[in-house]
Amino acid sequence: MMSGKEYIESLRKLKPKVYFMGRRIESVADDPITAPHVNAAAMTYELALDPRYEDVMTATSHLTGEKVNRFTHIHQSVEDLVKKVRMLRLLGQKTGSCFQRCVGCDAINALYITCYDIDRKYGTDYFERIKEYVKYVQKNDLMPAGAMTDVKGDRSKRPGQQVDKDLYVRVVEKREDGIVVRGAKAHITGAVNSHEIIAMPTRALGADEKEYAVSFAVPVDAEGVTMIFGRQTNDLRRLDGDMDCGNAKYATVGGEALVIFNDVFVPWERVFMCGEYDFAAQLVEVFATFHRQNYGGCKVGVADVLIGATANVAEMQGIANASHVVDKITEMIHLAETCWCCSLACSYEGYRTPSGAYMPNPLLANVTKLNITRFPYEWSRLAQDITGGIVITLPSEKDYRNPETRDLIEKYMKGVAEVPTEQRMRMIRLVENLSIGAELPESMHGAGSPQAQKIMIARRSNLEMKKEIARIIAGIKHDEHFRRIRGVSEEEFFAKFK
Amino acid sequence: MKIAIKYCGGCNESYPREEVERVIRKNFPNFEIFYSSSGDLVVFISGCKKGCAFVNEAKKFVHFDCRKGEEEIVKEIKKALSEF
Repeated sequence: MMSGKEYIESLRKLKPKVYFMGRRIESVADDPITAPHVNAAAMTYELALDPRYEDVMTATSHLTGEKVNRFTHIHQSVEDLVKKVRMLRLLGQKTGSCFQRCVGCDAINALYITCYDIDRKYGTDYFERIKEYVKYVQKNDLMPAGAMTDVKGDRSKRPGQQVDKDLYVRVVEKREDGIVVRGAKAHITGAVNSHEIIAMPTRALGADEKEYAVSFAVPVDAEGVTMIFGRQTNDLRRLDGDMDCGNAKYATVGGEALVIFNDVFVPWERVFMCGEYDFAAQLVEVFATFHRQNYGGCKVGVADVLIGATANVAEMQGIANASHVVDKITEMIHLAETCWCCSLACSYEGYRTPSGAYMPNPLLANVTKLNITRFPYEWSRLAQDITGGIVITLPSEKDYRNPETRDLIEKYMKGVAEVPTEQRMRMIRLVENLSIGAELPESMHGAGSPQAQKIMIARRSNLEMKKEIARIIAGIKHDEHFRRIRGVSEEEFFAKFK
Repeated sequence: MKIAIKYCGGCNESYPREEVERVIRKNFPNFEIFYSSSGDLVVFISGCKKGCAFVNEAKKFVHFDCRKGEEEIVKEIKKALSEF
């Protein structure tokens, strides 16, 4: 397994084509815009080598018997699923940010399960390919980015109906040695600082859409891959010192990029689906289940940091003992732990698939994520409420460092006497970082927008069973237990009261 | 004599687990202390009452799953060692 430092070194050996603000980023590991995201991902490597954390950060590969980073592991038990979300909460606490590596983990697990099923139906050899690929990822401790969301163009039209056929990633050529793909994937977390990119279809597909039923893996610096790093609220504060960012070391959310495949060649051994349109929906659903499982882990870890920051600000401003502040912080904890309960529940209710790999309960995983589209907005609102208007009016670090204004800021930005002004400013900036900006829309749309979870919940909720039990309780349908309890039928029992 | 230390994964620790290790290293300087789930004496350090560090294979062990003072930690280790 690599250390955090070795991971960063490994990125320096790659030459991905990454653009940001009209320039090419020469070294993702060292550029001030991308480096904090690299640091967050590096934490997934570093903690795996730490005896205090290895119990959740590592696993034993069922393919090689070797100890591997859990992010490269194929879940072999319910306990593995539980440890995964424990790992994510831990990393959220350690980075206060998105550490990006879960997406690739979810991609290899979803492909492992789906490739097995494709092979059973079609006699293909995708399962062997994904197994070999997972071994390669484990052996080299790689970070693959999972790339699912197509750019989609006109949302009212299916992939094949688009004016520009490249708005969904597709196969444009099949060769003896592989395929050529074209298209783009949007808002891909951690793509620029990954070693590989795993592409998957974004939706259910029909028989006339086989060219879009494609899944594959390529190195980030493969010929024809171009990435355009997305802007975030306040991203250029990274060029202005370390205070104004709030979380200068690890940034906020995942550092998403538009990943463009411009006629990229993929050898057959890295192709995991090619034309099996009837498995596109399954791959999407399994991947989504894994990814939605995560959010009550990572986001709750980040919420732990926000709750701590808010409690610190309250102390620094002398309001920690106000009953409404205590109540609001308790409410933040309640919301966060509710989401944690969801992640644990969907993991504990996980099950073995025919491939041998385990997956979480899809209904509960979707409930987890749907809560995350809501609760972070509320715990952020409470954090802003407690922190006060200063969360958006605090003077800059440059003014704090300017000898002409430093003393004025020291004097007038002071909270309680015993806390240095700079500490109060840093803590307020952390609240700002975690409760305003990219963090919230990421909660909304990461792993799919709320309506996607609603659709899955509706599909999986077994509403007919609920209607049936209601009919029984209402006395519309026969209650088989009632006669055993009372020794007479419902009709006979109630006749004497009429 | 070898003392093995086995931590849980630390996903949401309710106290600083490292404090237990610090106390052991300070108070038992002549022991070989290393990270493992097997040794003459195994000290399991869990971050909460779920007790994930504990593996029911060690013959002699001490399991910490909540905050304890230095005196209490030393007392428990000494008690376990006295049984050898």
